[in-house]
Amino acid sequence: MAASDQIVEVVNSRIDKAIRDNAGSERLISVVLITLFVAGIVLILWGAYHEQWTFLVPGGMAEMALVFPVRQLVKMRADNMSLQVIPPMLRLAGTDDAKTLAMELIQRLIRQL
Amino acid sequence: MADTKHVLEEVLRTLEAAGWQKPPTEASAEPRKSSTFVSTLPFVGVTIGILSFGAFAVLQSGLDPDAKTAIAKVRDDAKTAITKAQKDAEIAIAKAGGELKQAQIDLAFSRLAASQAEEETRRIAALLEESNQKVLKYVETSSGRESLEAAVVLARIGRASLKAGNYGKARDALDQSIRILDKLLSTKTKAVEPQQAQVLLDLATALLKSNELPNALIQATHSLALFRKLMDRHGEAEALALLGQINEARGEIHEAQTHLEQAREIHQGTGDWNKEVRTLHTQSELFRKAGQEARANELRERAAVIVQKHGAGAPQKPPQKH
Repeated sequence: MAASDQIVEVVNSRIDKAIRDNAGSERLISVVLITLFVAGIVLILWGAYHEQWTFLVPGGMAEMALVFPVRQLVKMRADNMSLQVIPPMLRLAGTDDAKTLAMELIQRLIRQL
Repeated sequence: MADTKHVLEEVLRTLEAAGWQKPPTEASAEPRKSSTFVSTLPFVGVTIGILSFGAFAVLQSGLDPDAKTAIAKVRDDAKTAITKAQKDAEIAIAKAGGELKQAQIDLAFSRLAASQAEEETRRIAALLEESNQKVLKYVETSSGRESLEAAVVLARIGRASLKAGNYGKARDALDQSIRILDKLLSTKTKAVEPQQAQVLLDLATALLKSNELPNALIQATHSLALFRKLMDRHGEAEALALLGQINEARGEIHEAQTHLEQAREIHQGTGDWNKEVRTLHTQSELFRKAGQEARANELRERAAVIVQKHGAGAPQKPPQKH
């Protein structure tokens, strides 16, 4: 195996590990998201059924708080896409020009995060 | 969660170490800004939160907008009627010198206006009672059936019923309030005692109106003791005046006069001339009933002097009737 291929393998394994880590966090955030949503809905419906209108406040706040896990999930999906682009690109970078372009793309991705 | 930026920087460094060429950094490369939609989300969240709390506050107040408007209208009507009654009374007093008959007619009109005002006050009290019932329902859910808040709302209901002339209802609400306050006394003495003194006074008033004189006397005495303990001079004077009325109803004229005199002295001391005048009128009425016309007239004159001193236009309540 050429030295360049070895480097690409090291980079790919690092990226694969990062994507795996993200998948675990993604599941956790999804659970929080679903819990918040269900809790909010239950509070609102329970409050409405029993005419306890004060329950609308925590219910509404729980629904509002959904914004944060949703934003986090969207960001993680975007990050994963950035990471997944790199391995095939590095494998295809045979010439010096292609390598420079690959490096440029990685720099661009860093700036975008 | 992996820090993507950190991972990419690590990748970049690894590739650089392996001899991969880094392109020259673009001068124009600007970091990407987050979209307007995402950056405005917290603002939208906060706005929705504030609106929810606003709605919550309205619900908590226990008054629907219709009831608020109705109360405001009735209050305005009552105010107009009271102002009219006062003006009529002033005219009547001014005329009293030479045209006594006309003055009596004017006074009759002013009494009519006052009774209209009284009727409207009752309507307000009924509306307040209804609103307070809603607040009670809320308080019982949020703070518990036997909380200080519930006791305060029950006392308000009792006071509103008292003003509306529903003495039975007033007694029930005030009794409930007292029971709760008694239970809370050992744990929240400082907060409970002033409430208890006032509720006992209101309960004694309701009992007096229902002609339950022995019980009224007990509650008023208890209230007086509490007000004295709390060094609340106004409350003490109110309790003494009520004891005067209760004793008068019991036929204990001498005791009634003693209590009324003590109440008057406190009102004089605190500078509450309006209540001092009212007490003087009650005392005068008592003397008149006892056949002591000279003493009654003397007290009336003293009341008139006080009114004159503070301005004839100032509000002056008529003597209390039982």
